Amino acid sequence: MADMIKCSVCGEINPADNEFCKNCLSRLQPLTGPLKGENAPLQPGQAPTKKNTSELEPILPQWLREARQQAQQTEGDEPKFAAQEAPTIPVSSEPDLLAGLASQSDEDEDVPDWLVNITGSAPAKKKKVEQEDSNIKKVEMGDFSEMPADDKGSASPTPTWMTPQEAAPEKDELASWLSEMGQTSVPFADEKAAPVQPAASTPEPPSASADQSDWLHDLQNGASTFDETPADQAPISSDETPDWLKNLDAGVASSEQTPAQQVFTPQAPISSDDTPDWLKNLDASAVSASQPPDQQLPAPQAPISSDETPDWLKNLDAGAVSFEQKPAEKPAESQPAPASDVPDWLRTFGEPSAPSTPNEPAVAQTSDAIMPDWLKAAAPSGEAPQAVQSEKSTDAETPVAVEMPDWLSSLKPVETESKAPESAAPAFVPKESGDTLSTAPAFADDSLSSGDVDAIFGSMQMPDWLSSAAAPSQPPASESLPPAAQPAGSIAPAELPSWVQAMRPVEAALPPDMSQGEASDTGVETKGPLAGLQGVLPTIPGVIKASSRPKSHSIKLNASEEQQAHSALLEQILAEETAPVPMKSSSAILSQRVLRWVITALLFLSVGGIFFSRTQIFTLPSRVPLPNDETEAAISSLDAIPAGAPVLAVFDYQPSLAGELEATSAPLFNRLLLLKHPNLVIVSTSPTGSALAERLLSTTLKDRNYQRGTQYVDLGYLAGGLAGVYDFAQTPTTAIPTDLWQSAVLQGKAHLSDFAAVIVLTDSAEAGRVWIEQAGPFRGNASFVVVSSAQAGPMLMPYMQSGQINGLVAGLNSAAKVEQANGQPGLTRRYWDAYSLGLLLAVAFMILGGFWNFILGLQARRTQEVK
Amino acid sequence: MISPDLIVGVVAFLFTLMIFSYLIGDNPLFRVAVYIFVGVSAGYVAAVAFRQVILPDLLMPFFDNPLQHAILIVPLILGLLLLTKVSPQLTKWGTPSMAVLVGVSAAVAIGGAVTGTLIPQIGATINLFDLRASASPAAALLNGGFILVGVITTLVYFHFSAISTADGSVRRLGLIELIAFIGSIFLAFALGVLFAGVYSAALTALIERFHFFGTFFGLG
Repeated sequence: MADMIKCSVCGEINPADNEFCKNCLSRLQPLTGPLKGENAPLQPGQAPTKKNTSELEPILPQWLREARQQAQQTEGDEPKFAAQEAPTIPVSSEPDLLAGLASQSDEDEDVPDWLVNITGSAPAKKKKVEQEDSNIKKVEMGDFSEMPADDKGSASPTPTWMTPQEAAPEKDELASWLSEMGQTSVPFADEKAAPVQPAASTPEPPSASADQSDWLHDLQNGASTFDETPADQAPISSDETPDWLKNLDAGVASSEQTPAQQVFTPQAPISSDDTPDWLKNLDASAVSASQPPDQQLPAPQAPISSDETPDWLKNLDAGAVSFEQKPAEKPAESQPAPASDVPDWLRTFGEPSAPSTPNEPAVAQTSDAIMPDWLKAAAPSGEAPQAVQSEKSTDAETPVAVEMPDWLSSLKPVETESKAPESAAPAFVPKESGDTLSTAPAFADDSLSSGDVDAIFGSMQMPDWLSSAAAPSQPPASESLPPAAQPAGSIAPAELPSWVQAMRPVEAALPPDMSQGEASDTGVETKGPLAGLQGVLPTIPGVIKASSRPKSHSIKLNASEEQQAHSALLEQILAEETAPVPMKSSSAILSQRVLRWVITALLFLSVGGIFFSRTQIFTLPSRVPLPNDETEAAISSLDAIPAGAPVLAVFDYQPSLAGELEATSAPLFNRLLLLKHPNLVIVSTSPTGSALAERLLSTTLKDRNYQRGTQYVDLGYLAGGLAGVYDFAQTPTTAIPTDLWQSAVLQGKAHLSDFAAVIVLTDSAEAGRVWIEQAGPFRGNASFVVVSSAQAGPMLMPYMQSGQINGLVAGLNSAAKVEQANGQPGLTRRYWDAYSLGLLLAVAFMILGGFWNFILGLQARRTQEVK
Repeated sequence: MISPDLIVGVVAFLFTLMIFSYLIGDNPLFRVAVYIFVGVSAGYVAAVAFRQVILPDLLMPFFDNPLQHAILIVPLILGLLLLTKVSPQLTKWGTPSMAVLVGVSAAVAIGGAVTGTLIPQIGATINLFDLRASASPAAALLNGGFILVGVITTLVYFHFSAISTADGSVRRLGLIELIAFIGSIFLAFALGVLFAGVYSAALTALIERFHFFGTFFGLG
């Protein structure tokens, strides 16, 4: 496998010696070294290398193949298309204008497919940007002598190119017929043409067969005739061959004679009478292209006079005038000569920026009759071009129309090269310098309107050699410069063809309204390389502004006045709800504190003073022996107990009120102890009761000199609260299991009823109620006397009236009564004046305060009434 | 030599002043005095409870003769479980002890309230109209009637059942409102008497304190 090479395009295994793939005809070996020999680039004036056209069979377009097949079928009718082994092309001293076609390099990507397809080489497939060695885009013009003999003998009445044929693999080669015309003559050169492979390097088509189109043979014959006497060479003599094609042979020969950059330079005008007039006219127009811009071509010098010349070609002469007009003139003005025969599409060659005008449809309609059928199919009515023009297509592959043939649909749009310096614009565009298009396109049709033409060629990718053909022979040096660099005033702004304008992205991207509405976008740029274009963003800083600003939407609610009033009211209500309540000023608090201090001072001074003064201003309350007097009842009940009887004394009060209770109980206990000498049994439901009892006996009743253990016993703390009292009331010995029950004081006492009296000392109504409720049912005949604080007395009075207790001494007032009954002044007398004064002060303060509040209330009411 | 009475007197005097300092507002001296009283009281109570109840009535009998006093294991366990109320995690263990305490107390209280207060008081109210027991029937009757009115009106005052009126407000019946108003008057008198008693008690305590100061300073 060392001698085999795998094609990178199709994967076909080819011999290593092959330069082109036998399957897809793509280059196998890259062009690395300097081209020599057959690989040497074609120089201007050099005849291209002959290629064997039979090798081009696979790349022929489908329609061409089919045409060839039909031609083969009717082979006997057309002997004229017999293939020639060595089609000779008349060699002319004049440069072969089409020689450069074969020297088309890979770099040149401007070779339109339509042109390639015309030659029956490349199909409608898109050309990929490949490396040079792919050689897909190369246009090679093979030597007709190398063409396989099979193709030479084929002859058919119908040109095979007119019949659809299968698309052949892509192949960058012009039609052999085209190459035959000029290969032997002055080689066609293109300044931009890269080294082109000679025809000999063209790989032989694997299917080199006798299917070479008859027309190709004719072209070969015709080409050979051109080599000798281009004028004498008979064109394709087939009656089916269109005349324009016949004339093309002569025209191609004449075009090949021009040096580089000038496809149609009429330096070597075709002198033969057989030269088609249209071609002659091209020569003449080429001459005029070299003329100053101001000059216009005269009237068609050699109008197509032959009857065989298609009308569109006739019209081309007239249309060629339009190409020669100044670029300053608007394209719309540069309407071609009013020759009705000039196809519109051809007219638009000179009207690059001509949009679809209403005249176009009319023109299109008038030219429909002149348009050949094949071109009609390719180019529909004027609507299509208009539609194409309206396409905002930057896609180079945008098809022109649905009905376009492959060769026409495969046309590539003009790429940047078309937008390059104006001088490199396609051939059918008037130049700034006023270059004129000296020749008409080969396949112009009168039926096509200018818009159609623009649409058709809008997606074309003009080869440089063809575009340069319309360029002036010697463009001035200034013209080679970018338009911006050219001296001011010498070059008028270019007029872009419609198909170029259609490719402009600016209009395509912008929405219709913006593209039409923005005033700034409609301005024509006058500076820079984009001069002449509309809608160009300004390059001046600060000038650029947003083409579109977001719409501003109002955020206000559409609410009526009533709704707004309601919302305001609701907001006010809510605000009032959350509004903090103002706090009172500190002056009120200060006044209360001062009042407190004043009262305290008065009370301390009065009570303290009278106490320490030991006055006896206030008399003790008189003892009124009322039947229901609770104090008298207490006195009476205690007076009834026997002497030396055990008396249960319950001390259930808190230390805080010990002073009051001692003052309250002192008279009664003094009386009891003095008169009855009872044995006191002390118990308490409070842990501090024992201590309080001890205090009472040791201080207040110290005069009685009661001794512990002999005159009184302390049973201690009675735990359990209510339950403890209840338990003690039932069985005191089990409630408080102590040895004191066997003492002399408690000898034989085991129940509550064994006691002569039960005296409960309490400071709260609750404690008194507990003993009353729990111990009352179990006291038997024992007197039940309650000595309480003044605050508990009112609450325990009902029990007095209910008979549940025998007596109640509540507060210092009752104690005073007892002491009054005792007849002996005691502690109560000591406290009575201060107590009385204190009570009087309290009453006075209450009266004064009430009166003051009453006055303030009246004032507040009057103020409210006034408001 | 400083007698204990002097020390006690000085301490008492100081604490009394500290308590009286509340007149100028809440201050640290007052709070210290309060805290000391609370602490001393709590300690004294705990000591008394343990010394006079737990030790002689529970621990000593139980540990001296467990078999004879085996029943004491129940209050011992319940007491120990009651201590778990201190810990939030173990508080559920003291629920049985609390249940016993609450149950027994409720039962005793309700029984005593019914038999010791409610019934006797009702009887007493009825007995007011016993004209035979009174020397003056008229007076007795008047007295009885007055007390009866006071009792009823006061009880009606605490009746809060109401109905919705046409204007959407909730109010009691008019008669109830009138009776309740009378009862509120009796309540006001009763509260006034209670307030007087409280003031009397406090005044007496104040006088006693002055007496202490006089005794302490030898003023008599």
